[in-house]
Amino acid sequence: MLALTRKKGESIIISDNIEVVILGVGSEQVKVGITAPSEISIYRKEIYEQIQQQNEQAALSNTDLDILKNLMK
Amino acid sequence: MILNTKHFGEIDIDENKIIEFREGLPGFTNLNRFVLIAEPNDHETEELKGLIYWLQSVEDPSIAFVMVNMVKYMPDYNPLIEPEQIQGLGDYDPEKFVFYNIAVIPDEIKEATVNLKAPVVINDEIKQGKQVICTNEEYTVRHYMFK
Repeated sequence: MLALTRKKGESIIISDNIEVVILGVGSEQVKVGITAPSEISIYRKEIYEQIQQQNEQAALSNTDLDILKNLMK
Repeated sequence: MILNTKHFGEIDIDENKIIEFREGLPGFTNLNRFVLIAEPNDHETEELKGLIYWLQSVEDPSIAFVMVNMVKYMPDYNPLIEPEQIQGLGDYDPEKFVFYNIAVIPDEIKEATVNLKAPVVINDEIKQGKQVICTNEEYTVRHYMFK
């Protein structure tokens, strides 16, 4: 991991098309702004991990849908 | 194109129906090509029509996700998506963009959950799909369908 120190208003450029700028610094939180091409997705990590976990469980799903369908009728 | 799938056995898919997920899915970023398969026999039941689809991977035939159209099934499900999230899916058109929710179906079927927080959006016209995150705070990634 690369660790950098930035002040409010300063930026980091990743590759040549992603920019992370520090918009504000508080005692408990930091506000960051991210500019990236639209094909690159940006997530809060904890949400991303929750989705990842659910997808992994979903791939292991019970595949007999008859009971599910009866419950849905 | 023949696929030897885990769930449907050997199936013949129309390559023109393959939907591209440029970023794959979280947890499966290496899988970029899928086909939508309607759950067989649903057309026989009015209440179930169009509700359940399989998202079948083309690259890894052993992987398929059950998806439920919760916009149809759950009357007030209204996921709000920021425009940036769906930029890669073409111009937004409510007629062409369909939302599905990936389901986790455990052995105890009554415990089935769907991911309301991160629906899968598919633009069938240009055959592009993406799993996006809605801004609604009330939706979770594990919503019990029957509780």
